[in-house]
Parts: sequence; C-alpha cells; structure tokens
Amino acid sequence: MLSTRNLLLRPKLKNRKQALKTVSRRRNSFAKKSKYESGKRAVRIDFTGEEDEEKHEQVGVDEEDVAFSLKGSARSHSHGVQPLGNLYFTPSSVNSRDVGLGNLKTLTDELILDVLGLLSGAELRILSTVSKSFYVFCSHEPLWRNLVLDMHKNGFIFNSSWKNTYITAYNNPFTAVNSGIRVRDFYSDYLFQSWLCANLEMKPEWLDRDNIVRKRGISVDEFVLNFEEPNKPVLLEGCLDNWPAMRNWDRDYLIRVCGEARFSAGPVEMKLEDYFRYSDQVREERPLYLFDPKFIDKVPQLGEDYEVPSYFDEDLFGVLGKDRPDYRWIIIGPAGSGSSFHIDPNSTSAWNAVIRGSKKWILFPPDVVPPGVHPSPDGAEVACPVSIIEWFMNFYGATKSWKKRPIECICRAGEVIFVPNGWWHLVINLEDSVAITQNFVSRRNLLNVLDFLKQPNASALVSGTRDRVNLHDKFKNAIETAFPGTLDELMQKAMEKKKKQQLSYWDSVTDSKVGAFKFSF
Amino acid sequence: MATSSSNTNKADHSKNPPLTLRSSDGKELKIFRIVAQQSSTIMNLLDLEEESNTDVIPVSEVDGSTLEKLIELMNNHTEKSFNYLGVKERKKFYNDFFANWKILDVLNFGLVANYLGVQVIFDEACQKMADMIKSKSVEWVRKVFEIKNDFTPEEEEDLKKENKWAYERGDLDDGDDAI
Repeated sequence: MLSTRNLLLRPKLKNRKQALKTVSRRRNSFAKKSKYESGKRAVRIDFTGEEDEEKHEQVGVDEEDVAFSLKGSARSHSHGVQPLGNLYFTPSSVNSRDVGLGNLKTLTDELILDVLGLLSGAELRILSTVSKSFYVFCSHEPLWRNLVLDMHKNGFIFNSSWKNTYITAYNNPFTAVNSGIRVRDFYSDYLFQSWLCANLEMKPEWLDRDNIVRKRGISVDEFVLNFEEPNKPVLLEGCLDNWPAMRNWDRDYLIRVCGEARFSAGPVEMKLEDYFRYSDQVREERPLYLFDPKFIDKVPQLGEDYEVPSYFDEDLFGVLGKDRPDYRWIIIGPAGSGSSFHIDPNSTSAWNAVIRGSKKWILFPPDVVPPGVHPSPDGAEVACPVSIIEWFMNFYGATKSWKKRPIECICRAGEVIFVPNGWWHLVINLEDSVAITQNFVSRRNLLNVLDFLKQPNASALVSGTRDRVNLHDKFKNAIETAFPGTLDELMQKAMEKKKKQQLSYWDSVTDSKVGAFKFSF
Repeated sequence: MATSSSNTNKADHSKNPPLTLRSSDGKELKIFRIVAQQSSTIMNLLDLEEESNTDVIPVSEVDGSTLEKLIELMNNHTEKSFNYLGVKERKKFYNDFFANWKILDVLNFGLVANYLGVQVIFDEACQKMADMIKSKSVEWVRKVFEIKNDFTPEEEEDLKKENKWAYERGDLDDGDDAI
C-alpha cells in the first residue's frame, strides 16, 4: 500500500514544481478563457462578500456545462480571493495583490509562498501587517499547516483553522482573535484554486460510471480462476457480514477502544479522538489521512474485530515473520481524503474493505498510464496534479474519450474490492470513511514479486521494511524452506505461458481475435 | 568570461566542448556540459537540438553579470571538494557567497536560478531571502520593496491585537543595510 510519505502535504519542492507546472497550465487556461471570450462564455464567479456559512453557490457556468457546485458549508473565501478572470469584470481593474506587493508583484504566487514557507509563525504574522496583499499570502492555510505539523509530531488539537490551531497551541494565554480584516479586490488564480479545490463537491458525472464486475458468494477457486490469475479487479459483496467491525465500529466504540493510542496521520501520530476533531472541522484540498500499518500492535482489539476474507488467505510474505514489509492498514478519513494515482509497491495485490462510509475508485491496468500522471522511468517517482479533486476537474473528462476506459466503482460499507497487482488506482472518500486494507502475495503473483525485489533499485522502491536490501534473498529462501518445490513449479508454468502469445488485458477484452498479434498503445 | 574550475575532470574538456550562453545584454559565457547539467532548462534545450548544432544558446531573460555569478556558483557545485562539505560548512559557503548582497539582488538571482531550473541554487536563494526578512521590521519591508500600506488605521489596530503574541519577540531591525 502506498507509504504515508507519499501523501505528505509538503512534497519536495522539485516534485511540487513538476506538479504545479501541470497545474498552472490548467489554471492559466481557466483565466484565459475569461479574458479572450465574450461575456457569454466567460466564467464569472460572484461573491457578495458576506460570510454566509450556509450559502450554496453556483460557481462558474460556461456553455460546456462545467458547473461546479460548492459544498453547502463552504464559507465564501474569508479573505475575498477571487480568480484572475474576475479582474476583467471590475470597473477599476485594480488588483490589491499587486498593489500590496510593490516590486515583488512580478513574482508568481508559488514563489512568494516558497519564501514564506521558510518563515516561522511569528514572522508570518508580522509580515501579514505589511499590506493587505501580504495579509492574504501570510494567511494561506497550507503555510500554517506545515508549521503545525512540523512542531507537533505527537498530535495537535485542531481549532477551526490551521492558523488558529498554531496560535492556540503556541501560546495558551492568547486565544485566537480574528481581526475580521476583509480584503476585497484580490485576484489570484493560484490562491483561489487552492480554496476552490478544498470546497468543491464531487460532480455527479464523476460518480456515475460503475463498470466493475460484482460478485457475491463465489468460491475461492472461482475467484482465483476468473480474477486473480488473469489479474482483473472485482468487487466482492457479502464477505464482511460476519465481521464484528461491521456492527461495532462506530465512533464512540473506536474512540473508547483506542484510548490513548496514537495513529499515523501524514507526518504526525495522533489520538483517534484528536483526529476526528480535525477531520470534522477541516476543509482543505488534501486532508490528512489516517493510515496506520501498526494498528493491531497498538490496539489488539481491532484485530479481533475482523478477519481476512477467505479469497485472500494465502499470504506468502508471512513466511518472513517479523521481517515482512508493512501489509495491513486501518484507513480513516473525511470526504475528500484519499490517494492519488499510484501502483502498490512490491508488486503485491491488495484488498480494501469499507466498514463505514464509501469510496470512489478509478483503476487503470498496468500498461495504461492514467491521464495527467507522469511516472519517472524507474517508477520511483510519480508526478500528479496537486489534489484528487483537481485530477477530476482536469483529467477525468479525458477518460471518456479514451478507448481504454478505466474500471470505476463506488465501494460502500460491507463491500471489498480486489486490486490486482500492478494496477494504477485512485481512491477518494465520498464521506467519512473507515476501512481496512491488506496487501498480499499469493502463488499467483509470487514470481512478479520476486522479479520486483531483484531489481537494482528495489531497495529504494520497497516500502515498509527495515531490511530492504536483502529482502529478495530472504524471501526466496524462506519460501523454499516453507514450500519446497513451489518456485520451480511456478517458473515452469510461466515458461509455458510465455510461449503462447502475450496479450495485454485490453486486447483480451476488446478483441475477439484472441491470438492475433496486436500493437498495444 | 567564466572559467571552469581546475578540478573539473580533464576528460570532459576534450570530449565535450563547452557550451556558450549569451545573456540579454550580449555577453557570451562559457559553461561546460557537466556543469550545465544542473540546469534543467539548458538540458531540455539540448534535447531538442542535435549534438553538433549547439552554437550559442541565448538566455534572453538573464543579464550578463547575474549569469556570470550563477555559472560561477554552478562550477563550485561540480568541484569534488564541494560534495564533502558538511551541513554547517555548506551553510557557511552560501552565506559567504551571498555576503553583502542586497535583498533585491538575491531575489533577482533566485528568479534566474528558477528560470534556468537550477533547483539547489533556487532553494538557497529563497532561504537567503527568508533569512534576510526574518529580523526586519514592517517598515523595512515596505521601504525595500516599495509597498504602500493599504490598511486603514482601524484595521491596523485590529491587526495589532490579533498579532499581539507575535510581537513578543522583541525589537525588530529597521536597518538600511540590505536595500
């Protein structure tokens, strides 16, 4: 499963820049549309400037029906940041952003934030008094989020915003006093986009397609034959009916049972109660995701409340005992949290069971790189747009016109999805969700895993184990000891298979002339 | 003209002749390929051209003296001794490099590094700017960057209250040194 490091809010500048390059092109086109097109097609966002927490606004309607709707509880941007396009509708055409930056105004917003990101909280607050423009920049929530997470590795008490959280944690006598400064006439695509992505709702058309195969009550052999062997995803129903977790895991129970235990959420470890306090209040582009591989060590009771569905019983990394890589996680997160496109490490397969809530899944087979995703040649780094919502806004549409459509579904409480090894996948929680996921190696993907571990850069790619370098040899030896002859048997089978034509997944599905040589794009 | 550092591998000189960059004001500066690898912009440009046809690469966004300083710093980075510097020594190195620079020059330098895609130098320039701003007062910032205070007096009062805790740090510097 994706290491929590990849979900970090503060990616290395290099990756963020790559990500931003993709993004800012899109953002510019967002603004350009308004500038060059006639009033009819231009995007217009109206802000009345009143802070009405319950307002549900229609933001930006153009002829291609790209209406975005905001979450019902979205506050109109408290600092009045508007997208650059709106500047062209104002009679005065004055941008307080530029006025307040002086000769820094030629810098991009990202550059300014890069420098501000190196300052302390006190310094930011002092700078915020320089001008209204500085006030807006210095109030940018991600800056304060980084400060809080750097300072409070053992958890934090979230208090309505990251800025407030920092202040109340920093200095108890000072309760957060909000000056209520209202800045009008501040236009910036970057800052607006950040707020927009934090407050967008998932559009219905992003959720409509559900083309995964669903099965209920099939045998293990059927599963292996029809799905695991051919490496196809499937959604299994009815496997979780006997799980105590399905009955018990509501908030009160979890908080009580977990007590003082601290779970990994991004770069910090925090108590469950504190995490819920955060996830209930926060509204941001990439919420912190609680993702802990040691949850059973920390709270053994949680391990009693579920059992691995019989389809996934075979768990060959188990032969390594304590040396095995991380393999099971509890996943808790609010709507909007999730994982952007990735392939699970170590070439393992995975299952993901939703206990509460629901998740939207998008899966692409191993040979199809999703739109907007740019893996480095060795696969060690993946550059993606900043957030999952942004991917949906900018790239989901492309999947409609592609011949190679992704597998999509919504996985609800009580359902389990099987993610075959090597498949790209993206997940977003549609509501507060609690899930369990495990990665596994069975005889079907054993050879893949060994091949993966043999690679020269495997020690960099392998996640979740202390002794990365020797994992291949260790694993191979342990398998030979526990299941002598298995490896030879599997390798022989693989040789025989190779002799037949190798078709990619899509060819086998879309072309009836099985066996004909095909190019795959 | 920028000279290559004497520690650069002699083999590179003969295999790969230096590239020539031309600044906005017409200055032509030589840079060895191994040094130029630090610039993702230059590397991207080279990808687009055939090996034999790399004449002069125009860098029209950058003036001659800044480009010269940047190449000097990039040369330093390729020296073998540089890689062995510890964290403190690296910090001292960059402090010395930026000593007595005015903040607007650091800013300009950072923008050039950004344009040429030299990540390490860009990061160091940002850090230097942050360090320079850290101890300065609001008045200093406004003066240096020519910013007009657009808060009303009432808003200023509100801000003071909101930020009371931040001012506990002590007196701030109004000095002109970096203008």
